[in-house]
Amino acid sequence: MNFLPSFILSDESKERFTRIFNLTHTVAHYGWIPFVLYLGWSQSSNRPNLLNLLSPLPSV
Amino acid sequence: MLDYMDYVVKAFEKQTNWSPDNSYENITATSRSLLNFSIPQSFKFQTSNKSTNHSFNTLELNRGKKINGSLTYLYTDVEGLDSVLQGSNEIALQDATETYRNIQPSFNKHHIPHWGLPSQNDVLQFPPKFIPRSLYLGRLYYPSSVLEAMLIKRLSPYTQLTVKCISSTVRGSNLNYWTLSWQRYKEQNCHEWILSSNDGLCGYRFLHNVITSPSKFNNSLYNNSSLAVGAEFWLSLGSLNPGCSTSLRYCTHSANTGRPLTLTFTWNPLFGHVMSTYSAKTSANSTFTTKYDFNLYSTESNLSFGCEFWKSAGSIEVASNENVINGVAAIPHNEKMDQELLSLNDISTETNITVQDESIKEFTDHQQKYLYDLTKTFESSLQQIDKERSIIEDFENKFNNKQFSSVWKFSTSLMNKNLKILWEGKFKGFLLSAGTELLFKKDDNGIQPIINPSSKFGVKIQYSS
Repeated sequence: MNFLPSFILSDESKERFTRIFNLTHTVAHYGWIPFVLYLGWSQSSNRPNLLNLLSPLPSV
Repeated sequence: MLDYMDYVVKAFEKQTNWSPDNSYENITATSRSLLNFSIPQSFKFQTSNKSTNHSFNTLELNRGKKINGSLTYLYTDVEGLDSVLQGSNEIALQDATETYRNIQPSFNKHHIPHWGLPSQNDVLQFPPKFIPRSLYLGRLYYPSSVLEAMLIKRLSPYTQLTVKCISSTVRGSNLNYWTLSWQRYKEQNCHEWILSSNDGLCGYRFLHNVITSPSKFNNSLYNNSSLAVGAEFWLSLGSLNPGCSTSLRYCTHSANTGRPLTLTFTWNPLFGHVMSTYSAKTSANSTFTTKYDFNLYSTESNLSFGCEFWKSAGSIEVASNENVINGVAAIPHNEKMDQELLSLNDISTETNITVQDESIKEFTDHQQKYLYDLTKTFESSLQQIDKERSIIEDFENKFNNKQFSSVWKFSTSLMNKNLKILWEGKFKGFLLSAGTELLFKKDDNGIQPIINPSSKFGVKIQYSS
């Protein structure tokens, strides 16, 4: 069995880190706009419905 | 024309008492907006909506070679934006576009901070308690699914943190960058530290407002000028490439006409590049600018001219102070007095009161004469100061309160032999901008103007409610 110095990551660890990084990146990428929308929804007193919040068209 | 989200970000900065003019990044903003204005590249349509008092969204459609666009959502917890933001029907054209920046000296600004109006849950205090306001923006481009995210956070009364990211989930794409900027403005100095993941770029910007008190110049009793000096230093950790530049900006007003003018001088010692600009607002309807570039090493030079002409809608409308974002707010005459003038006026007022007071009888003749002389001495100076101040403020208010229907912008450069034309205006509640760039190329038949193939002709239509 090969013994590696402690500061060198094994291939499995590297792969695990890459997978975790990619997952975090994907979550942040697709979760950022819902997070912005949630902040707007939660901070308003009248709690508008989802369509009003999402629609960029002027409300009648 | 400003994008609606840029307009909201400007309103956020205004409400949180953060002046972008104090950043080194904007030291040449006036000449940049008059010479390097952006021209629509294709047909672009933008519709924006305020879904709540804190949430805003924008849909953008581009009709280039193929249809693409973006969807933007913004949230901010700052209060009072509804009183500042206006829809495309009501907005003043000078707020909706980048134009001459009338920079107020730092000593002439209000010293009472306002961190946005307090919300219902906040306890009213004087001086107002600092509330760390923030702004979140997310923009998703389609069909590429590229995300642009931005977070602006006021950390303290003197600091602001800005984080910007571009993210793409497309496999093999290298379009994943973030930039972090930390700004601190205190005691006339603005420091900015920047860190970017793009090649490990590190930067430091610094700006210092030199004139900190309304000292009296020989030629003008009322001093409304400002002088700022700054520098920036960059280092790429990836390639170890350095970069730096230093700049100076002087803004003043003509004492006789009250018209503002701005001079800047920039020097890049590494590349030997020298740039000087001169911008002047020649009337309420026109602005002219000129820029001269010179390279000390290659001796190449370039001269650029830019101008804009505003067409008034006819009637003059008095805008409220809160609604002016882009320009300087039309602050009433009495409120805009700086500290020294106030104190001078106080002396005069107090003296007048004292003269009329019954207690004057207790003074000796010598003291009465002294007070009378003091009043007489200051009277002419104060009148002169008032006169100069009113000329400058009248000119500012004339532009800010005027209702414009359209603006023509022209820019040309002798080296590039081009002419940029942009028209921006309001039409039935829509904000329109159209423009093109002409290149003058020499062929067998002489010099012929052709439309720049890279920019062509573009139209942008914006609507916001």
